[in-house]
Amino acid sequence: MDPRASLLLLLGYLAALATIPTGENLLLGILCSIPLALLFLARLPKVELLSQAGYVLPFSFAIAVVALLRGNKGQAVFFLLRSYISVLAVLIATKLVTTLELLRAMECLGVPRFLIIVTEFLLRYLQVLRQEAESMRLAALCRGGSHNRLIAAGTLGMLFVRSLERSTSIHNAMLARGFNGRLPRLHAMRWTLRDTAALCSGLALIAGLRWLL
Amino acid sequence: MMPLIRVTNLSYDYPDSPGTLREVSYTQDSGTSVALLGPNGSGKTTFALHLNGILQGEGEIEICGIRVEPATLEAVRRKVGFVFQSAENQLFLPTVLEDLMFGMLNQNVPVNEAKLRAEAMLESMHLASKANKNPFHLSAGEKRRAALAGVVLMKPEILILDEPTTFLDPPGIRELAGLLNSLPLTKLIITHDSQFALQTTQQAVFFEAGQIIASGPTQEILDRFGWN
Repeated sequence: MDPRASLLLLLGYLAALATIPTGENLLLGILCSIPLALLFLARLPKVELLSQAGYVLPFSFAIAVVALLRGNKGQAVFFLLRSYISVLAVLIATKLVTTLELLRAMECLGVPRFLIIVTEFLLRYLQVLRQEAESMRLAALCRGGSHNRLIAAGTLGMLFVRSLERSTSIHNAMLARGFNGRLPRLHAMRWTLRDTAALCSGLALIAGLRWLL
Repeated sequence: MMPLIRVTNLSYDYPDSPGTLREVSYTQDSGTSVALLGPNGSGKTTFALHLNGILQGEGEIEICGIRVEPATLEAVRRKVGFVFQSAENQLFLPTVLEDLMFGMLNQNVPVNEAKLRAEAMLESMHLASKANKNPFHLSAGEKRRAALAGVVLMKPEILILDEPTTFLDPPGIRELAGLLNSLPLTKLIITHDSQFALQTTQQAVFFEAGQIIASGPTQEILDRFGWN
């Protein structure tokens, strides 16, 4: 499926999920079942995705606490579930369509180029940061290092310096191979009749569930 | 015949290291292979980074008759292929195949053609089975070959390699030497490996303290400075 169609379907789904009135439990349940069904039908790493989606819960819990303090437990649960399923849907989308293709689709659909570039860099250099942190951790362990907060704080600055240097080297390598600020499209995007049919039927289903039920 | 590389009075200072390059002049003819030798910190890599415009110091640089300046960087980088010392930093896309395609796509080569050429190159580099693997999972030798492949696919006229034998075992070094010798390109090889320099280059220049202090046949330079 064309990444643009996938992105539009995802956005339609997220919009439907975000606008469900509190208390519409049946509707919430039906919409939540869509990504869960996709997760179990497609060959996706279920445990990995289900646990990764959980990373949003501490943040959404901070907001759900407001509803709890007002005595509205139902609203808090509603919010937590909705945020979890939203993130799960996005994670599933990034597994079915590569992140780069999703970014290309976003750019085609008018997302400002600046945001696209920043996201591309973030994705690329998060891995650099992780690798540098791991190599520093191993080096510290080999010299009898222990989990000490003071040491960890002190090395945080070094981590960023090392990552910056490595990122600069990577950037130079990209420039040397003609990088012009935009990661090239690796697979041509071709919109077909099948994409139109999938998009229309998908959006019709979501809209039907959301507004007609 | 006009030299392919012409550098005139190149000087460059890093912010914390003044005099990294001091009025370096250099020429290289087409089809030749030259070793850049010298102690660590003598300016070899800094010099090489000027040839594709990554660094821009004072002085004049001409690559294939094109003066290196901000307006000509795209054209210069089509002429100069640079294989960096760390192959890992050069492999930055999710799969080996995509990484090899990167340079060609930046040159507006159609996606299908880029893919075919990358696949053919992977075959010739004995990396066909690694096409869909993450580059980080390759061995040091495989990473080096993949990094080289990604650059060679851009069809440069000049190939610059910075310490290409780093992390390679002896068979890997021999294989790389054979590979380089089979490429009909003008080459500039920064190396501390005297055997590798002898196998792959005919001429050498010796850097010291930001200047080229000697040039000549590779064996002669190695003997003169005890670089064996």
